[in-house]
Amino acid sequence: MSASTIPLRGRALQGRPAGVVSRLSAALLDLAVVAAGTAAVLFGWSIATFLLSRGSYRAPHPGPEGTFALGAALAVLYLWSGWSGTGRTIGARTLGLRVLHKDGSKVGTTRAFVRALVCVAFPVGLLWCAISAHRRSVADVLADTTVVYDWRRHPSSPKTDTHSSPSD
Amino acid sequence: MDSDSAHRGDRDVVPLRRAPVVPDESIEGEDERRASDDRITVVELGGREPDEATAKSDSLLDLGWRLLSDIAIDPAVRAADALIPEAVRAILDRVDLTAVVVERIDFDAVLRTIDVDALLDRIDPDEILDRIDVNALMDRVDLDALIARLDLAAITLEVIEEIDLAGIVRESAGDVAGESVEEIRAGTAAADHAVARAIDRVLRRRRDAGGHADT
Repeated sequence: MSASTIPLRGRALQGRPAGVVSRLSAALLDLAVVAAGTAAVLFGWSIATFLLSRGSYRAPHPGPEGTFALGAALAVLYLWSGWSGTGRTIGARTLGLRVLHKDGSKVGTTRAFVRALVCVAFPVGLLWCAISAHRRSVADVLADTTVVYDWRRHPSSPKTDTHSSPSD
Repeated sequence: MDSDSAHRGDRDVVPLRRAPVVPDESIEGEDERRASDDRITVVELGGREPDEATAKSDSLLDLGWRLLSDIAIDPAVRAADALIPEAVRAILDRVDLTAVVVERIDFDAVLRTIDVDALLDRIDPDEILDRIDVNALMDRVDLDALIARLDLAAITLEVIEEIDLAGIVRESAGDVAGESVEEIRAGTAAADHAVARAIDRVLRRRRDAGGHADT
């Protein structure tokens, strides 16, 4: 969605820090994606085990801890790849959000990885953006990032007005 | 000698009157009778009125003409009737008439002399169409054979490609999805604003015109 095709009611929002409802909605969508990915990996693992087993087949039982660990690892990979690439995951893309460096530039690989680790390890930290004056979550504070509204499909420049403040 | 020369020529000459020729029935055979007729030219000398002489002369001429017609002309015409078609047919068999026409006739020149516009103006298409029985015409068309000759699959694919059906479907689906996503985005953004205002009230925080909260 180019800037000219953004509906009038959304134009004023572009580049502004996103609120907690949008970010929480995007996070829930991402959670669903990660859950589906985890299920797919487990299914693929079962199929591979069955094909590779000789004689006796035993379905893999990673247990709750194992499944959670797998999901967490996949979530980190998923968030990292999304933020270090276009700055958005599937959830963020759907809700029209983009993760940027605090100065408005694209998020680097290391920063995206740190942010992904923090988000997975401390997901409740997202709620801090509801209280933060500049709508920054714990992960934003630790990774020096911000999340802005960006309804464009292909941004012409990663540099946007984030209306964020270095403080927080 | 004829009557014209008698009137036109020497005044001293007494006009001649040709006596009527009467076929001599005693002479047997057509040829002998004709020969006899040729010899019988009885001429009686003057003393008669000119009109009477002329009438008799005409009668004699008529009789001669009839004899000539019966004896020479009619057989000649019959012979010509029989011979001429055969001769023409024989000539045509030996001549490639098409080649002659193609070689001799400048069709471009002929066509240039034709005023096609004037020709077309004289043609009433409606009148021609009125004279055509379309139903009878359609009855004569073997539609099944016609359809069998068509590569309908290729034509269909070509049409679909031309109208870019996939593109239209994709665009329509994209528009619907785009509108739905837009609604969701606008709704969550409005919720963001409502939550932010509620929290600002709880925290007794004020925002500037740009939406920046006081820290």
